[in-house]
Amino acid sequence: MFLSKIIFSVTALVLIGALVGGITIGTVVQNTSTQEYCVSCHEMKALEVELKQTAHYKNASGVRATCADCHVPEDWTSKLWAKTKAVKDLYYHVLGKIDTAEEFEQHRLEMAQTVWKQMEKTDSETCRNCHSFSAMKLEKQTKAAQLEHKDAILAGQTCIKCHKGIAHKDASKPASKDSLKLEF
Amino acid sequence: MRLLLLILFSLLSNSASAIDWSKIEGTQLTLFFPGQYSWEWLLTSHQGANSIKKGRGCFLCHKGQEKKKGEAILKHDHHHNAMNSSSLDVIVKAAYDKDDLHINISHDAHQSVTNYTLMLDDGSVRASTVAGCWAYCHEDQSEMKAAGTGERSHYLSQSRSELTTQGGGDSLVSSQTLEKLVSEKQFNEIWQARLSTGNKAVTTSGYILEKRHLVDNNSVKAQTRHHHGQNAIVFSRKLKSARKFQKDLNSENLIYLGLAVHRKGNSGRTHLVSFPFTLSLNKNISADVNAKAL
Repeated sequence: MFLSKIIFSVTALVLIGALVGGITIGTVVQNTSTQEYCVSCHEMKALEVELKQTAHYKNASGVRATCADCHVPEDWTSKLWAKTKAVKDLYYHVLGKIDTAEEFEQHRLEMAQTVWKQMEKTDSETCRNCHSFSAMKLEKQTKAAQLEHKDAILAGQTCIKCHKGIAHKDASKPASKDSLKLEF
Repeated sequence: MRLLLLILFSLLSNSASAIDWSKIEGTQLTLFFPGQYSWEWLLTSHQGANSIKKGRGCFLCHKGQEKKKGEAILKHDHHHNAMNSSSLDVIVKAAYDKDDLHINISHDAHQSVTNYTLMLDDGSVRASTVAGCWAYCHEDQSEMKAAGTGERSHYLSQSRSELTTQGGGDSLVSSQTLEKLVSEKQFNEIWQARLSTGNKAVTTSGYILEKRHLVDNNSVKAQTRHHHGQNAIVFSRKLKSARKFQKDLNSENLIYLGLAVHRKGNSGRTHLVSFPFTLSLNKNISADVNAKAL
């Protein structure tokens, strides 16, 4: 009798703990995924300014992408992993690694490359939460876009291969001399 | 006497002035102000950079956009006061006989042009097949964004050992390599006509490789004429290359062309240019301009 009471209490405590923990984590993840939260660090403000000048912020169809739409995956496992990794951002914030605009520019390419690498690894999953080849009306696109997308479909290319620097200043400019080579 | 007349007739029929151009179909092109957009820009910042790298030419996306492009580019260019127009419509016709190719360029006579330049390639220079004149227009040549203090004319990338996004600078390949490139026809041939007083054309020709060489005043001829409110110039050159820096003009290959004009008072980059276009001497090979056999 006494033992069953203990088991019940422990189980109840674990469940309540899991529930409270779950709610807390969910709330933290939700609150740290808002644009307001992202730009509450001064380092990110310039990126928001850049975003606001692009079609991902304002466009004909009225669909808006915020920071998390591109930088935080949707499924919970990936989301929690992304959030865990993002703790390093707080660390560098405290250290003041990219405190000034000059410091930010010094590290822009390195930061962008980290994001590009991640997107390539996940086959641009955050892009594909909104965009898909099957939903594209290619004939409505410019001739260049039609041709590139047809190539991309055939070759199984991922979005970020071509679409770098579309929501922020393109860190790859000026491009390397390798980008001056013809492929035909 | 009869023989003399026959010879005279034969000579006349072989010259550009004897061609009845009204019976030859033309292709309308719109030349436009290109600003300072270079080969390096085309392959990096240009939205269609990937398309260019895959060998897709300008017309695929930009045909019909020339006038608007010229207006938009000139509006933001510091030369906008120096130019009284950002585009020019021209008609290009071509004809050939057993010896010569003739290219006729005509436009509204009110649009005073003082200098016509044609760039030709036989498909040897890959960059020219997709980008025409932009193949030899670089960031670091005179009047361009990364120009130094010295003079640097047009050049092709293959003449440089190190090409960066700022151009190829002075990193010239060896003179032996340049000679080899010439022997492989890795250059662009250019024909130029300047109109002197009375609209008489003074011609010169040459090639672009490590720089622009205008070295030959005899191979290319040009005649001008004014007809029905149109000014026309007819370039003529032997089909067979007579100099090492000339391309063979034959019915087997497409000829890739670029046309640039300077209007009165303009020089250097204040020119109007065409997107690259093709010419064929073979009626079975479709081209932007199909030359008529005479």
